Amino acid sequence: MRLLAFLLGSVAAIAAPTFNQDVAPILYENCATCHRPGEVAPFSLLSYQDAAKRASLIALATEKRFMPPWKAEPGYGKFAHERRLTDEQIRTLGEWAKAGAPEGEGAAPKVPVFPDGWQLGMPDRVFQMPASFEVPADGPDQFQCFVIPSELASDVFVGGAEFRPGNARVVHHALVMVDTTGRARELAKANGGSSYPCFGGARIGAGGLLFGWAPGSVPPPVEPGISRKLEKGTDLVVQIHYHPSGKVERDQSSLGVYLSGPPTKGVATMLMLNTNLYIPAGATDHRVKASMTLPQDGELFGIAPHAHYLGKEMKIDAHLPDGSVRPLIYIKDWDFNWQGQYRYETPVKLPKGTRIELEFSYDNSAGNPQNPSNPPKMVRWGEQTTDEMAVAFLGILLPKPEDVVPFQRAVMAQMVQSILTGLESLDDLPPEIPPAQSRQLRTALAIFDRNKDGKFDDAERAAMKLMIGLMLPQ
Amino acid sequence: MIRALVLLAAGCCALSAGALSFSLVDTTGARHTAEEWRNKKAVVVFFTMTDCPLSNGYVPEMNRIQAEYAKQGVAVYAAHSDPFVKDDAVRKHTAEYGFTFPVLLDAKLMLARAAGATTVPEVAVFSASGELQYLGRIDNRMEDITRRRTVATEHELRDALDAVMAGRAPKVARTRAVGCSINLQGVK
Repeated sequence: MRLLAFLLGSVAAIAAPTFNQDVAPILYENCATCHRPGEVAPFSLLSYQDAAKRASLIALATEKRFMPPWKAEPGYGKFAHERRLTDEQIRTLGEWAKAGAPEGEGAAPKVPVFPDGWQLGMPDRVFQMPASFEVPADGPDQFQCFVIPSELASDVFVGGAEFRPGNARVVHHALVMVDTTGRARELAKANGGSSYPCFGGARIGAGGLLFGWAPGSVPPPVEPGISRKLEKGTDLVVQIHYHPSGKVERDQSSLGVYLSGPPTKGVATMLMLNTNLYIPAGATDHRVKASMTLPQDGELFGIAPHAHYLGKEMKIDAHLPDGSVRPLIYIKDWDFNWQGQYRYETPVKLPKGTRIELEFSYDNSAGNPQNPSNPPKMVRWGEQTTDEMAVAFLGILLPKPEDVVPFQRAVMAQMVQSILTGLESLDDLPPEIPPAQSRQLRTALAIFDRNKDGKFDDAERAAMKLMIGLMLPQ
Repeated sequence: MIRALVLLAAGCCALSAGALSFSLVDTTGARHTAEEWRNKKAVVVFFTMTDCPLSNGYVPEMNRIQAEYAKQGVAVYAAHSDPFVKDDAVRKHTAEYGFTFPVLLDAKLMLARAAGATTVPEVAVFSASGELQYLGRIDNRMEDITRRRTVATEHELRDALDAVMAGRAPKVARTRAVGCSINLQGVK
């Protein structure tokens, strides 16, 4: 038996793929952006020796589609800069490892040349974290929000942005937000410095998301037509997810921005969420839905679904007024560590009245190795690692910049209504509602709490929903 | 063909690692042999590499285990198991990550072959007489390379050490380690 396997192995070896012929082109095209000296990946894959000693790890990581990190399933939305290997390429890498990682005849293909430093060229402004942050040697991942005062003399328009990690060994992903309220500054001050811990969000309202970065992501090109206004006095808030590396590390990351003129189109963020989460302990496939209707014609240019460690599957579809259904994204195997921002190759046209349907599933069983609670416990909406979320950020292009405010208002009204559907107490209002609106909403909702017990019963909720429904723009 | 034979040979010897003998220098230049195991209750060898993130991430836990068990009569070593990394780079890495125990320069993979280790970070527990008692992962923090547990729920290395020190055979003697492979095939 062993002899037979041995002989078969030898036969396979004759036709085995080699580094120079078959493997190097795959690695250079799909892996070398990060796997090269000085970049975010922990080891380089440029030379034969570098790759050969990792052959079986490469085979395993690609077979499981852990690498390249790309969670969106093919056939559900066509995205720019897809980093997905074909089945054929994965087979080649597997066979190469099995054959003992042969180098092959001739010379390896030329190592690709990558631009140094800023991928989009020298930025107009560089914002750096005010101080370096210390990441402990081990323990849980760290999530920290850094407040960088923009110190602008006047309002400017940002046409593009690029994030550069200060210490690539520990920076795992970053979100850049704009805070016009001074709230982030207060939170940082309360924490005794220029930053504060923030696992689930920056607690400054979710409308100000400017930009996201993950290892291997290509910065979106500078697009003056959809520039975003950065007001004088605004703070930039950078949320960074750090992976401890085994030794104490320091990081001081930077954000480069590219200025442009005012936008010619409107850019709005549609925030879809379901805050009424009750995920029972032990559930292996708990399903949660949300839906929203487009108040006017728009084009979807990007999408970013979000959950924490219990998230499993995520599916978002557009139901057009003509009855047709367009899949927008499908993630079969959500991994919190590889949450991406997906940009469509061509923006998806969505007419007014299009209903966007979201369905997420959660595994809150002990069989989910990433379950932060052991034994599992009932999980509700929240910002902590042990809480969950069901959120998607949809980037929408509108015909004119003036369309943004009414669009956001209409979307906000829908969001509030969906939150109220299951609201039991004023204390359950999620932090995704910006602080100013949250205060107004609390004052308004207190009116409906007729018996003044701080809680809402069915009758009180029904009256509230009716009122909100009347206020919804038609 | 030859590679396959070497693999089979390594596989066969790992099954009975008794009467282990070796002589290796650590990153400070001190020489170590199995002689110094004689008066120990057990011996732990962590297989490591300078550039495997999963291995590096475990260094603080390795140090904690050393701090707890060394005073109970356990000898703890790391065996640097990558023939392609220069000794100077291993010395620098050892200082940077602050290993609190000897890191042996094992470019010929003597200890990895003796224990049958194929991965870093993998760990072997030997008895004082050099018999392999446990081989596998440190704990179950890494479910596989794609899934990291928030909290480890199984601690096989600590369990094995406790058993060996109590004079029992470990309940779990083999587990699958998750990480970067040791280049046993001699790829140049």
